[in-house]
This record gives sequence, C-alpha cells and structure tokens, in this order.
Amino acid sequence: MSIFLAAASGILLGMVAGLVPGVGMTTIVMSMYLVLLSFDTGQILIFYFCLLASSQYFGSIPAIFLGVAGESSSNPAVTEGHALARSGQGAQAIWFTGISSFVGSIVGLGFLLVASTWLGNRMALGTGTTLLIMLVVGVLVCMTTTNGWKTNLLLTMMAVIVAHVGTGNSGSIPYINFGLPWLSSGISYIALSAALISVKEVILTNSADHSTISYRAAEFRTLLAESLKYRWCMLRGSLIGAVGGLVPGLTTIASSHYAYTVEKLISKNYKKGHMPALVSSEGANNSGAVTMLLPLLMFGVPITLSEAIIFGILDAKSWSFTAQVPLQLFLDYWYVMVAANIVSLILAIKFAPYLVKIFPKNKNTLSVVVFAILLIIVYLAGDLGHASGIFDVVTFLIACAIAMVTPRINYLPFIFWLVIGNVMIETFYRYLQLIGLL
Amino acid sequence: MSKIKTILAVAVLLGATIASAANNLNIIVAGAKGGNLQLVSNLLANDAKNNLLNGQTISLTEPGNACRGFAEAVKQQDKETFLIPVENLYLANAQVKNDPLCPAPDFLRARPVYTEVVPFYLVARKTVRFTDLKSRPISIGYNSDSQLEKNWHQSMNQSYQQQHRFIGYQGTSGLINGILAKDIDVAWMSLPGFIRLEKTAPGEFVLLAVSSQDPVAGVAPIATLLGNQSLTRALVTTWWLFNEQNGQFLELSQSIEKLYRSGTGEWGRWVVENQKEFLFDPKQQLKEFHGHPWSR
Repeated sequence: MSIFLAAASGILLGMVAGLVPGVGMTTIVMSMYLVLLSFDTGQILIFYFCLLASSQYFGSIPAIFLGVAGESSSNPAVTEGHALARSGQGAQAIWFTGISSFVGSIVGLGFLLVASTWLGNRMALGTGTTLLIMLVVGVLVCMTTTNGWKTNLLLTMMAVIVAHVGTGNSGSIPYINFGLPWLSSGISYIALSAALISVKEVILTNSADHSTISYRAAEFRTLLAESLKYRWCMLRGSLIGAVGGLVPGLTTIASSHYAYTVEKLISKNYKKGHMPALVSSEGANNSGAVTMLLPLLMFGVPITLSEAIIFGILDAKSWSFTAQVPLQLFLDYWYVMVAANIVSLILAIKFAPYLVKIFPKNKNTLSVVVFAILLIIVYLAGDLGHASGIFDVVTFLIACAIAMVTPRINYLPFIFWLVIGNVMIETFYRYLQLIGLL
Repeated sequence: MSKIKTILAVAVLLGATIASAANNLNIIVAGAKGGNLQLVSNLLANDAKNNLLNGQTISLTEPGNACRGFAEAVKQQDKETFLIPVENLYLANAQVKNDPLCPAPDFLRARPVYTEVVPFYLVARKTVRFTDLKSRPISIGYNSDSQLEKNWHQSMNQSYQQQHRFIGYQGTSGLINGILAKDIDVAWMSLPGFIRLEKTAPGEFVLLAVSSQDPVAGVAPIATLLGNQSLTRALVTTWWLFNEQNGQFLELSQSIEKLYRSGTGEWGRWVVENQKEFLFDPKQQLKEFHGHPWSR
C-alpha cells in the first residue's frame, strides 16, 4: 500500500511541477526532503519516477493554453502548442501530446531495460563528450529561432557571462560578483526566463484575443484515429528523447529540443503551430524523463540537481547502485510505473478542460494574472532558494522592460545556455584542465 | 516576606529563561542543499524532536552552500547559540580567499561536539602502478576544484618530480563518472567513494596509497611512499557549538555519543548503517581539527 502512496504523492506533486511555472523538480524534491528520508529506497525511487513522469504530462497544459512553460522542457510546446490552441486546436493538442507522452514513457522504460540488461557498465560520458553534446544541443536550440546568427552568438555570450556571476570554491572558474552580496548566489534564471520567455510570449507578442482559446472536446474515436497519423512522430520523438535524457544537466530539455528540431528540419511545410513538432517533442521529454534515471541508478551518478538530492538520500540509506538496478526496479514495480503513466495521461486529458476554465478569457486579465503569478513565483523561488527574493524581483522587472523594447529577439538561446550555465562552465573549465590549457 | 517572594519569583523566572535559551539550538548547515551535512542535520533535528538529545530542541537554518553558511555563522556569532558543521577544507578555503562573501568564522567562542576524520585514497585503474606516477605525467582527479586541492596537488608533484595534471570535479559522483568514462586513470577519493566505484566496475580499480593514517590494512601512506612527512591530509568535519553556556556543548556531545554507541534514533541508525566513526573527546577533536595542514 505504501508504494502506492509514494506513487500517488509523486503524481500529485508532478502535477504541481508541471502546471506551475518556476516550480521544478528541485523545488519539489527539496520540499519533500524530510518525508523522503522516512521512505524506503523503493518508495523513494517510485516517488521520483512518478514525479518526473507526471510533470511531463501536465507541463504541456499551461504551455499549450497559457503559453507558459510549466517546466523547462515544455518550451517547444509553448511555441507550437500555444499557436495551435489559439487556432482552436487546443483539445487535439492536449490529446495528442498526452498519447505521445504515454508512448514516450513506454519507449523510455524499454530503453531503460535494454540498457540495464545489455550496456551494463560500459556507459559513462566523459567531459569532452558531455561538452560536445551540450554544444550540439545549444546550436540546435539556436537554429530553432528566427534570430540571426550574430544575435544568437551575442545571446550565447551574454549567457556565458551571466553564468559566471556568483561565488564558489572553484580555483579555476573566475566568478564575478564585484563584492556585492546580492550577486553572491548568481543571477536567477527563473527571473530571467519568466520575463524574457514567459512574459514576452504571453503578454508582449500575443496579440490574438485569448477568447479564441477554448477547449472544444472532440469525439474520442476521431481523436484516437487521428493519433495514428502521428505514430511515426511519436516513435521518432520517443527514441530521440531516450538518448537526450542521458545528457547531463539537460536531460528532458535536451530530449524535447532535439526531437523538436529534428521534426522541424524534416518537415517540408513547417509553420508555427506544427502538430508533429509538438507531438514529437512532448513524447521525447517523457522518454527522457525515464532514461535520465539510468546514470543515477546504474552508476550512482546523478545528472540533474534533483537527482543529486535523491542520490544523497539513497546513498545515506546504503543503497547500492549497479547496472542491474533499473532491471530489478522494473521487475519489482512495473505495474506501478505503467499505472502511474496511465493515471497521469487520464488526469492530464481530463484535467485540461477544468484548467482551461480557470484561465481568464480576456487577454488583459490573463496577462495581469500571469504576470502576478510569475512575480510571486520569482519572489518565492528567490527568497526560499537563496534569500534574494527582492533582488530577483528587480531582475525580473528589468528583464521585462528589456523584453518590451526588444520584441523581435527570441531569448530562448540565452535562457537555454543560462539554465545549463553552471554545468556548462564546470564542464568547460574541466575540459581545459584535461587538455592541459588550465 | 513579600520581598523574598519577589526575589524568588524573579530568580525562578530568570533561571527558566536561561534554561529555555540553553535548550534551543539552531543548526547552520554549511554545505550544499541536499548534501550530506544537510541530511545529518535533519536526522539530528528529528532525534531532538523525539527528545533523544537531553531536552535540546533544534531548528535548521539551511543557507545552501558553504560560503553562505559561513556568512550566516559570522552574523550570529554574537547572538544565539548555534551548531555548525564545518569541513576544514571549506574553512581553509574561506581563510585563503579572505572574501567578505565567503567569511571564515572566528572559532574562539566555539566548542567541538563531535568530529569525523576521513582520509583520502589514491585510486587507480589496475593498469597503473605507483611507480608510474614517478616516471610519467598522469591526469589525477579530485572531488573538488578548490585552490587548496591544487596547492596540495602541486606539493605532491614536487615530491613525485613530475608535472601531473590536476583535474577538479564537482563532488565524488562527478569524479566517479570521470574515472569510469576514462577521462582520468587516477583519482583521490574517500573510501566510500572507492566502494561505490568497486560496485560499479568490480576488480577494475586498486588502492595505491592513503593520505593519512590507514584504517584499511595494506595501504601505505603517501607520506611514507614519497618520503615527505608533510604530505598528509584528511577531510575533518567538526560540529561546533557557538556561544554555548555552562558546558552545554559537553551535554550535547554526550547525548549524541550515547546515540552513537547504542545505534538508536534516526541519527544513530544512520551512523550504524554507514559504519561511521567519530571522535567525542574535546581535546582529541581540537588536535585533529588543527592538526592537518588544511586546518592551518
């Protein structure tokens, strides 16, 4: 029974992580820290699995209907899904992304099993490979925008500089803080992403009337038949996502952006509001949400911050990380894993109409509500995370002003590089050490 | 008579206030969020809640990293009683950097509660022998990229008479990943780190040397192997009680030692599960904390 409670709490909190922008896995895992300490290792892993899976299902709902990424991997869904919702295809978008997410999860589980059985200890990413994958993903992200290459280069360089702001014990990374206490924890990417991506998308560039966004439920059979049209996108996205999930620090972000870019590149008639690109990227992030567990479970190597926290708890409970762990976990709890995905799928599809009703139809009201929610989240995330709520709010407001005066610039590359900034600069400076330049 | 009553009442009230103040503790976690120090702090706080620490109650202050932990500690030094776990590596870093954003607390008013001493092992792929370190340059991995690690690496290079390359990872997990991915063939890590590596790749790695006294039979200290007695190091983590009154630190130390010996409470069970060994004698703790080069 207790394993089901762990699964249920994972699904429920995954809903929160998926639906509320700025509340990610790390925040949820941190807030559950004391509860997780009292769980046994199986419960902890099932909780985390369900949290990851559920957040991916629900992350697409605000992305599609509000144009706000509930979690970082939903950025492609903001671009494509929101355009589809505005053209009256919100129900279809929710349905197809739900099905694709389910396919992605199953493919991810399959990948987990194959890797656990066949790859064993042979899989570990070196510093050079990690850096190369990061660069490839970053370049692909730049390619998804309509910015010129100079703009993308400038945004990338700015992100690299901002990622150096803060303090740390590293003797190689030249941190910048000018001796100012409020810069000691760095500049929050939550504040910048809320302003430069979410506010810009919802408030500044969204000139269409939100009253056009409604949830018109289509007939079940029609939707099921239409789903088959996208079967190859789903499968392609899931397979790409399975590999993307293994990229340290990026995981589901790499999964969704990789699949999204590939789908756009192979599409002959791409235009904004492209269902195959949406379906593929959403399947990919679910697949990645499963495979990202591989390095943690097989090698005891966490590749995201939330995984690192889970790892710390498992390690303290003398958990053994071996190549056979994912296989054993699946054999023990396969029914919980599959059930969690089915429940999340049903809840996401069923939940969407109610969520849509909560959203104000008037564009101005919606803008104000979204702005207020983002402002509160920015403050709370800053205050709880590193006692810099006021500074983060100021950063957010300045970034909003910048977004307002530069409506043509797509800041996705800047935010992308910034989100992976810490991992990227650590990897970069270590690579310099490895090749003897530092 | 009424004067005596008033004096008595005031004395009782004052006594109760002092006793109550003495029983309230903050733990300042000077480490990464979700890290080991935070985990242990939570376990201690839970045991305090369950009245296993002789009536002490504990609340946690979790600043999130060592720099902020120190900053919080410095701020509170003249205010309330608090407990702070300090790794001497972080302390030494703070002293070296002399950064107002990373201040080092003054330990004059601090008393040690308990201490853990963790030596490091030179772990190598089976194909690498200790003599290779003297004959050719090799990339050596560390679980931190700090200036102190680099300094220690340099002083060892002088003894090896080689220019081995310093490769700094963020934490033991990154280091293990690096060695598994063949970024590096040699690394300094704690014994639990080596055990994790062994579980992942059984039989592929060996212990070549140890950085201080060896609790595992058969591994020679690096200081002996290189004939340089100054090459000794260990990660010493001491839990310090600041602004304590009337020997409160001893009371706390003894109640924690009781959990340690009996393996009771959440903290005690964790200690038993992880086969931890601690020092509780105040004099011995001070000797350990100040006795290693990183503490100076």
